[in-house]
Amino acid sequence: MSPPAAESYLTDGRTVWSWLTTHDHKRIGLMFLGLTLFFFLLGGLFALALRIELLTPGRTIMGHLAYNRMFTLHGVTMVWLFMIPAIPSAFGNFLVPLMIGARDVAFPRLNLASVYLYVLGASVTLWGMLEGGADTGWTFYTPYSTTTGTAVLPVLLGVFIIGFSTILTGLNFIATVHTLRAPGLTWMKLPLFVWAIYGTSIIQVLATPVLGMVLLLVALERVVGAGIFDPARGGDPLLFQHLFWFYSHPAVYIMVLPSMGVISEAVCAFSRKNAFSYRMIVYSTLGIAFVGFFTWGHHMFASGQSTFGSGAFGAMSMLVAIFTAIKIFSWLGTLYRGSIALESPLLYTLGFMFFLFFGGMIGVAYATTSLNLHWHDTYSVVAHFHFIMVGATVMAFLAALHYWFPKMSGRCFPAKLANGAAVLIIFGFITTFVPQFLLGNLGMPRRYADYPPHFQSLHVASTAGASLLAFGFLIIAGYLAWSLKSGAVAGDNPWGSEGFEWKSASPPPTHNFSTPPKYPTGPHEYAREEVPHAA
Amino acid sequence: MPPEAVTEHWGSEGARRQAAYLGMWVFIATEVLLFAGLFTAYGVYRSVYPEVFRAAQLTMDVGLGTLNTFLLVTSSILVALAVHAVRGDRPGLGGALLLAAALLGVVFLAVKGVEYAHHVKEGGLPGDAYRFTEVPRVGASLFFTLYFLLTGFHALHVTVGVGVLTVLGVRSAAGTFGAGYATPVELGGMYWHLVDVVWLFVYPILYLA
Amino acid sequence: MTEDAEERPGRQLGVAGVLAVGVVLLALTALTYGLHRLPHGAWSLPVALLIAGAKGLLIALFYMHLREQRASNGLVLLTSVVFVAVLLTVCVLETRTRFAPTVPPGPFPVEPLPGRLEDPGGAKPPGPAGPREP
Repeated sequence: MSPPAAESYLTDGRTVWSWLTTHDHKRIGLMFLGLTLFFFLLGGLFALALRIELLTPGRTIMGHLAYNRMFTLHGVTMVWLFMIPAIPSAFGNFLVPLMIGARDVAFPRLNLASVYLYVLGASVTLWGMLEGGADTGWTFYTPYSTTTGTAVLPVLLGVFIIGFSTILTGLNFIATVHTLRAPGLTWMKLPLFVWAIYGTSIIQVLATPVLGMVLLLVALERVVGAGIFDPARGGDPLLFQHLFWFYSHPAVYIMVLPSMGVISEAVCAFSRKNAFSYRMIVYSTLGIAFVGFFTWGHHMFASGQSTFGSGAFGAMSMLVAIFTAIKIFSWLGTLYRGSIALESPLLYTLGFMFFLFFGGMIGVAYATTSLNLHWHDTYSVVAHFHFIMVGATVMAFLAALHYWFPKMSGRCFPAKLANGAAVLIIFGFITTFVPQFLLGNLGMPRRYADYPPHFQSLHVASTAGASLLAFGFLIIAGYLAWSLKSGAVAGDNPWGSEGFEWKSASPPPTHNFSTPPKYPTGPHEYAREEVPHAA
Repeated sequence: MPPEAVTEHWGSEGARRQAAYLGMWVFIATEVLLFAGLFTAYGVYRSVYPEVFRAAQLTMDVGLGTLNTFLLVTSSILVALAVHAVRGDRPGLGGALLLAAALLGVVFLAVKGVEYAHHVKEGGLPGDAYRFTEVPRVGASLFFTLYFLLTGFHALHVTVGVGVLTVLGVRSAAGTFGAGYATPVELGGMYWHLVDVVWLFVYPILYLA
Repeated sequence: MTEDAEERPGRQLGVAGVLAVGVVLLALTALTYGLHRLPHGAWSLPVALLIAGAKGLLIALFYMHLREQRASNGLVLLTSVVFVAVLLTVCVLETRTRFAPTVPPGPFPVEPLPGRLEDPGGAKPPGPAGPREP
């Protein structure tokens, strides 16, 4: 290992103040990573409480009201405090400038502001939780959210503020990718992760303001009785659902697109091959970002939406599957006859591909209105979106965490232990959520604290899987924390990856590059002769 | 802006300016979509209660609304002239024009205040507070709720815009900006034009047709 | 390959140009107001919105300098306008094609919600349909 040319970003300024006032995208990304991991832990604890309550029929550890609050807190924490900022704000911030050869993001001060907005929004949400929390579910459907006596307001306000944080992050990435690419780095050479973050930023910028407005309207309805969604004054509760899902359906792609970006990078790095079809992955990224805006009505099939609307939204929803399939085939094509290195990031990648495929195919079935009515608001839907949110996004998050851990910290983690934990997590996931598909198909509705005794065996299986998951996460937390201090020194490029972000030192110096990097002919430069698919 | 730091971060002055413009446009896009929610609510409820909305619209003070439209359009022209002046290295003139535009914004807010006072007197208030006997039908309170939301959010933006123009005007008059450094004035001007354009859509749907 | 601001000083408006655009804007405003004085019909809203759109386009192109800038900046604005149109059109279309009205006066009574009973101070009871008498 050559000695680092400049001071690493981690040691350039060691005071707490230097972290709180930093404009360095890497430190900001790391702060986001720490914050989102904290809320992942919190949301996971809520989930465990839910699973324990469902272990037996009747009351196990909490009553119905506490259960309602608990699943709301689980949803709000996981969606807004963990998943939406997790990959774009944490890994995106850390990696995008490195990948495009820039010294920093376009607007470093806005970037820092987005951390503080996140902290402010998260604090307000936490305050709402301490006030007793909301019991509306993370979707805040009216009229319940405008009439329930629980602490909906602070939670709404917190989510509203976090919305600004994601808007600032998205704005920053768009400007960064447009204006700060290193000389020679054209659009069609950009790493696929950068494309994914770019597509995500477009969604964040376009959709989040609508969410902000609709949350504000609910807040106004609660505080001053504005009555926009109140049927008693001629209002239409379905309009709330329209405006809410106009954001919240694309928000699924805010969570999934960056994951797809992570997977695209990891697949190339651990099969030592260039992406099977770079252009198709790029176009399908943009395609998903676009089509994702035309599918929101599939959340409203059972709520009195017009048949015309349901049909149109159902058909549009199926289009997403085409773009997703293009990506899955591209990844499989990349793996095919590659020189596979079975490291933990690749294990998570394989898990991701299976879960995305499985969850996505079931999503196509759900987009069929007639089938949807059978599954609507059952555990089946819960399992479906957890396959996408946990099975895909969290797997990709873990893949990213392991793949870039040496980049961020300069240390290696114990590889065998990591592989074991990955297998445990994947099995835990399957055990948790496959029974939920079966439960839902048998008619177990979601959001209930109680159930008839004949559902118990499946619920017990699901809870057992959740415990496996929790155990797996504990192991990961343990060895990563240990590796931060005592892991082997990683060197600049421990995976032998050709990704652009590995061209600087690990951990990178404060200004990333002493001289602007020269960019080769393509997004990755794995040796050409190792690409045998032409035969 | 020390040029050395600029080129270090941006690579070139042109990249810095493009990032500023692009960032501002993305911000404007978020503002447009912020108002989109309200426009959608208006469109949906108007299609559900067409007669009631028309009846409620007929009680609006078109004169004051039109006056406000002319005020905003005029201020937009002044801002465009100000940007031209600053780009032409006449920051003093630019500052004066910006302050004049800000003044028109204040007049706009005052006229809006007079209108609001009328509505309060008549009882044309949002939601719970609706007491207007002239249009006492289901859906009319929605028109007034949307009226207050649309104009209220817009007035909030006007207030911010007046603040921005005032700061830019004072700094421009002090000679901070010039041909070499006009970006803040350009961006502030873009924000004010956005506020104007939003009003250009609010005006016909609430007052005219 | 970074994007620089496009330098097209030839496309910057002079004072006369700024004023000319301004006069057109004022004239279009007067036109909207004048049309409003005529009897109304189904076309009055689309025409008024069309005029507003024309004014917006003029302002964006000339006063917000889109004409001097890179196409990507215009694309940002275009995208936002397209998505506003999508949101508005889809919501209105969906509302208008429902079989059974979900908005009052519908076939259902308005009932208080159970959640309200837990904490009577937390929310107001919904009043009778429509505005109350003063």
